[in-house]
Amino acid sequence: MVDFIAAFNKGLDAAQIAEKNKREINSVFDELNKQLANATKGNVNIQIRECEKAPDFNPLGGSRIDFRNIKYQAICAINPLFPFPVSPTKEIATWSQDRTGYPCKISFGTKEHYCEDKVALENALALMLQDPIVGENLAELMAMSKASA
Amino acid sequence: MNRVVEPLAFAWWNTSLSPLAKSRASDEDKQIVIEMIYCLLFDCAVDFLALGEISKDDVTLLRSLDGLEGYRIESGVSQSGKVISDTCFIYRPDRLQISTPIDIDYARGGKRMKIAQKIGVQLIDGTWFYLLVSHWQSRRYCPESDADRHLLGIRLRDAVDDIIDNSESAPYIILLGDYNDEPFDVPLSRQLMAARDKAWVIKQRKKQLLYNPFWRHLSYPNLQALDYAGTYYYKKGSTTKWHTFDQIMVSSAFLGEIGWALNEASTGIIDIPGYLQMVKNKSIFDHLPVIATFARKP
Repeated sequence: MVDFIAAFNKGLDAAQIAEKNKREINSVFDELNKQLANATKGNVNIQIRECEKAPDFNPLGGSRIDFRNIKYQAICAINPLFPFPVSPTKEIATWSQDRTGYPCKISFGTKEHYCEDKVALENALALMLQDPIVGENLAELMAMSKASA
Repeated sequence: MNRVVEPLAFAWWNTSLSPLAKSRASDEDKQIVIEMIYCLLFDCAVDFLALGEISKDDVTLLRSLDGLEGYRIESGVSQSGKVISDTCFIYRPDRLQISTPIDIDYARGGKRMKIAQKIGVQLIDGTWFYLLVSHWQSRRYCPESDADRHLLGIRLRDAVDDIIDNSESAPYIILLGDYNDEPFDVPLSRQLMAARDKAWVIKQRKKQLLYNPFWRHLSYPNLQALDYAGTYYYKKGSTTKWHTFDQIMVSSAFLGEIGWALNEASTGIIDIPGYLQMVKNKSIFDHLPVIATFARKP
């Protein structure tokens, strides 16, 4: 007979691990935002958001290779100091995450990084920030509050 | 309307020229590589050639060669932190177009490993092939059965699933490269699910299994000559000097009744006269090229 109690207990353990991993991932983004806020005087904030994309004809554009409108998660940057109610959003990478937290995957430009732990995630985010297109997007975002001030 | 397309040949060769994109070859070695490339492109009629252990300087050299006017050369050399991709792709633009390679890697415990480079190939009939070109770490730095080798197989499988999950019909996926693992090693056979049982790959309902035709190439093809029994020659090998580390694997879409199909009769290891002796004797060369051909069923 199937041992449902053992399975149930495994599920509880898995939920605890997932919760711990997700807290750890959130803490990495909190630290990233803390450092970015200091460096940009509060002009840049990074968030994971659900996005929707129209069909795109590049079959390897991120991981979306079909022609349906699909929802996906992305790492987005906003400018919290933008003087209007809703800040423009810059999508800087696509994001996906296992149900247990790790691995998570960050895709930008011509790179796809699978992160199996906290250090890997920190390093991948650092590589993302070094990307010239990401840098350009963040610079535009910072310039928006200056331009509209 | 679909245009009639002649069969296509895809090949992989680890040139041994510049491991980790660092040049080490003599002018004489470079000349041998150039002759091999001409031979692969013209004599073996390869339409898409992926080369391994190539540096930026090697790409510049290849771009300067006479006789390759009908070909395009796309560099796959890149560095991201300590992860270095050392590949290059030569292809016929009159037969196919390719997208910019996307580097896929994973990191764990402070160590990052390259998994594959993903390339979209559009044929002149409009069909898309998806290529995953890999050059996995040497067994010297990541030993056989190391957990990281398993993770390479798992994450390469994720890259395959990513393509399958986002395609409306069964996609044409070709995996090629130097895996530093044999077809029977667990990272390829179990984690990647690259099977030897062609009938079962065709029959499976979920179409998840990949087919690895290089299970056929584990031993001597010529029992009289006993010349080569794999793609990689390691002269210090204790129980075998030959390993089948270079392989081309395909998704089950290539085994269907319609559309593009793997032509297994012209898939395998390429033995170019004279080169095999260099591999077995003292030289920088230690890998034979591999080829897979595909034809469109009417």
